Amino acid sequence: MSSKADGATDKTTHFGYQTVNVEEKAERVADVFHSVASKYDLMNDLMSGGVHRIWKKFTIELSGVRAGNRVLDIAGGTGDLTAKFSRIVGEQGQVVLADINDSMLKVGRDKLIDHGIAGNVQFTQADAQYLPFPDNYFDCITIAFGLRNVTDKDLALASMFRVLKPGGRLLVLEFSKPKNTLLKKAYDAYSFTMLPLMGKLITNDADSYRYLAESIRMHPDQETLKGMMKTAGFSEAKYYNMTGGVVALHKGIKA
Amino acid sequence: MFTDPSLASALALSLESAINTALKFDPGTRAKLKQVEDKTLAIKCEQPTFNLFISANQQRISVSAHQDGEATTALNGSFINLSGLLINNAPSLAESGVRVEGQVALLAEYQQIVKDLDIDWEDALSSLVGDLPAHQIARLGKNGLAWLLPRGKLLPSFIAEFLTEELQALPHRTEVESFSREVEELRQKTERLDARIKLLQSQQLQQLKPSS
Repeated sequence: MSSKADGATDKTTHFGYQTVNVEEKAERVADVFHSVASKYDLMNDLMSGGVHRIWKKFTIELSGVRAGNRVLDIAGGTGDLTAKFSRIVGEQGQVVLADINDSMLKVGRDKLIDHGIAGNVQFTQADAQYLPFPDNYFDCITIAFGLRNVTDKDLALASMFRVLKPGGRLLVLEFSKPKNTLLKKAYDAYSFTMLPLMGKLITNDADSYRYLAESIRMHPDQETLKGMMKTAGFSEAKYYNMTGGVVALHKGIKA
Repeated sequence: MFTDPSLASALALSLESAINTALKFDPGTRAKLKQVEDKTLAIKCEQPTFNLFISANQQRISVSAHQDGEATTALNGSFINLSGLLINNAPSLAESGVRVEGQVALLAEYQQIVKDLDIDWEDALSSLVGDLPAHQIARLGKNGLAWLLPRGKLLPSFIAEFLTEELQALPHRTEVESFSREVEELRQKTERLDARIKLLQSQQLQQLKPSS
């Protein structure tokens, strides 16, 4: 059993600040999302003050998706990105909303259908590490606030690289590390006090939101994730810090 | 201008939401957006620096701050000039300080769409306050506008008359014109006098020169 730089081993990984068995992490992450699925959108708006819409808008703008494209929205959850992509790709295009968690997928599917978004959208329960799609299949892949929950991120990035067409783009929208020390302190205070409190009040589940704060701290920083994307084969990998680095959008192209 | 790239996206998102909320109550204009589908109008502001890309898709307007590829039409200018163009609804870009690149026809199409905007405010209000109060408010609004618009057009002439005739704080147009004519005559006479003085001076200098 070899040791990893972050303290986890080949058979163990992180679940927030805890070290757990690899098999256990997927189950515990699943439990978190089963618990929060029904109030996920409300909590996103409350926790970010609605700013998550701006982060997602920027992601859509940088996707370069056009009419007729095929898009994969991994960890698509309640379908915010899928809804926008569905309009852009039109009737000739296709959007696949994939999520490993069936509760999230059900909420996303119901929401999109209620908003009349159908026809060019497909729903797939899939693990980002083992994507069930052919090679060179998608023009664009997005994963928004999902990568940090994946057990083996390198495996997931390699899987995304495989199903992406040459010239296609991968966009990873994820919480990251603020650059400003003052902002970092304020952000830490907010994450470890307000998030569990809001989780307790809204979903009656403080633990899931404590996990959210912890998992963000354990997620690779901007430069590390950029390096991981390069290792997976992506060229022109770069990132854009948003809201002082609280969130970063990483972009890579399959050459 | 924006150090955080998402700030420009925030501006685009706000504009997009406002426009599409208004269009929800104007089905006629929504249908006309078909004409401008697959074409992008870029607004490239130079002072401060930011871009907005406007396109139409499925009866909705999309506003983006970042976009790959060339726009169909691009308007370039300072914020003041670009907003002046929007506010004044000028028929021509001449002397507006705004440069246009690409297909000018797209501008004309957007201008016509904006001109024909007919938002059903009563429908918009009814979803907030109910049908009956919305109808009453809309009727009051329409009556108020019907009363205000003709008076609004007459207002400048009322003010001018009050200032010149009642207060006598300003001269009447004919007085100003007469005064201007007198000033012009005086200027011409002064110039002639100046020319004659110069002529006399040169003649005097010729007489004073010793004959060779």
